Amino acid sequence: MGLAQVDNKALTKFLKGLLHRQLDQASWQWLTTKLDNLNNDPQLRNFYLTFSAVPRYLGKASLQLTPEDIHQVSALRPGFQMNGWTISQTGRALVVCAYPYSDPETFIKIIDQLFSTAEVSELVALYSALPVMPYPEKLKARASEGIRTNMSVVFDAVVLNNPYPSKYLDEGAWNQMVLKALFMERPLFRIYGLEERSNLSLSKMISDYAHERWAAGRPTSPEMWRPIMEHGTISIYQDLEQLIALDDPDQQSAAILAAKALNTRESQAFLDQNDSLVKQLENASITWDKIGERWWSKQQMN
Amino acid sequence: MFIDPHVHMTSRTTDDYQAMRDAGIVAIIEPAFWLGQPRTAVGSFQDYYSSLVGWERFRASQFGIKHYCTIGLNSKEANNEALAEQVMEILPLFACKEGVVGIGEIGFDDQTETEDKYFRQQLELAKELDLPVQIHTPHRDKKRGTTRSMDVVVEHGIDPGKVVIDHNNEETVREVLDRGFWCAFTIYPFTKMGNKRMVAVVQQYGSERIIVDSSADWGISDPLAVPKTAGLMERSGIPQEDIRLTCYQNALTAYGQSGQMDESDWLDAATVDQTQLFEGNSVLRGQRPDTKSDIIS
Repeated sequence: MGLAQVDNKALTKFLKGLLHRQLDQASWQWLTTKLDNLNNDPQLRNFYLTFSAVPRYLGKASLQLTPEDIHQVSALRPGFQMNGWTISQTGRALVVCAYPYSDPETFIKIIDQLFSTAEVSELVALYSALPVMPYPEKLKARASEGIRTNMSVVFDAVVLNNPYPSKYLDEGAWNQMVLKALFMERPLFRIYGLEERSNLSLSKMISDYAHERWAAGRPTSPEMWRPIMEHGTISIYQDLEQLIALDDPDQQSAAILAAKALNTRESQAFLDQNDSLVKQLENASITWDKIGERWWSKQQMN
Repeated sequence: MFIDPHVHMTSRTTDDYQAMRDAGIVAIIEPAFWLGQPRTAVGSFQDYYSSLVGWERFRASQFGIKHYCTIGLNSKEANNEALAEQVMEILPLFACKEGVVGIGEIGFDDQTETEDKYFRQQLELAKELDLPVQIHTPHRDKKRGTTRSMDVVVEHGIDPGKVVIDHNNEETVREVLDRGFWCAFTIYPFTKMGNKRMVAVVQQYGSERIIVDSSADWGISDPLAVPKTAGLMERSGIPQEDIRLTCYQNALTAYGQSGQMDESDWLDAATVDQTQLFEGNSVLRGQRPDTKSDIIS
């Protein structure tokens, strides 16, 4: 079941292990002393101050992960990733997850206060740790709130490399998230569960969005067709024809991959019609991830 | 490279940010102040402080400018005692955040007893947290208000080397420097310093512990006051080193004592913190500023 909590003991032990390896003696000492103090005397003021003070004592270096670590991270919760995390981000996740909350109601009260007074990197740390927090089912509204942000670093923390949204968001919130990711030109291939959560309503929204962009003479991301499903009002096949007509290899590959996933009689006819493109795609082993990575690196160069 | 160590960006537009960046401003400090009219609830303060360490910091990063702030209860609003009590309770939540380089701007406005009370309480907070202090000196009865502010700081046993006295003029500069405080000047049309007068001050007093800022806010003010003053100093024959000290280094030295502001924050921005990278942020995608063209696409 997706609602299961992460084994908190295993998690805190693992995070401590990662930090112990990378911190110098003084920083490690500071951290363990603070954690012990909070465990023995869970005063809220000290909890908030410790959470804020983490970068002052642990520094902002990147967290180093071995292949074995990466394996263990995803064993804690499928889809959970710590690639690209900083030491401080890890320290903050540990402080939040190790605190002895008495019950779910107290947890959410404390976490809400933490969120509502957080600065930018604190928000990033909190949102990226959503999937491993105690009582994750209490955090649905908070995750939706995070998606409403206009700070792209914060948006990324909730949306990218994070299994929380696909597990816990309802369809409406999920669809808004994907559309907003497109709107903010975020890399869709880093959204966990993009295909699994695809739905007809989202497909329609994506098609409408593409038409809006085309009407304005603006470019569209080839990745946007990844979660598409067949839908009634506007024929998806017209959209795919339009992609072929754009005469851009990535847009054309997107059309072929989308048609393959649709797996209908019409999509097969479309593939037959574009037989040479299908062969090209198969010869070059082009995948959605590859298309996404290429689009993303083009965006970075603009 | 310039630092504007006193500017209220919350009141400014993205055009300002762009012009500041183009003029060479790499870092700014936004003091917590009032918003032109008094707030009536503690939640308004909480959201304001929150925006100083959140949204405004992010907005600045879009333009490649490092944003820092000071946190405090300003003297005007300190006069609402019932509210001031509640604000004092939430200050510690923000004072230790990353990028908070001091307690400020605090001090006197009408020089009432209530202002005095919260000024002192906040000095004690700064002492407890070992943070620099940024002091706003009053518009009215300025000379006495400035002297009194310094007296109170000394009475609380705070090192003048950790305190910036702001909005000085020709009448206050000597005492502030003589007593060992940092002496900041606000280049602000009509009510504060003009930059020709500023040049004369540097010619007379040199550059030690003297800081230039804009205090640009919601009033008629100029977010380019620091680079413009630096330009005027240069044309007036003031040595480069004095310009560097007054328009960059002194502010960095004074507020760097917080441990929250370091030159490497903007010099090695790319390697220090990838997540804060200007180019990696995309709120402006689709509304990307472009001064070179008047085509709106």
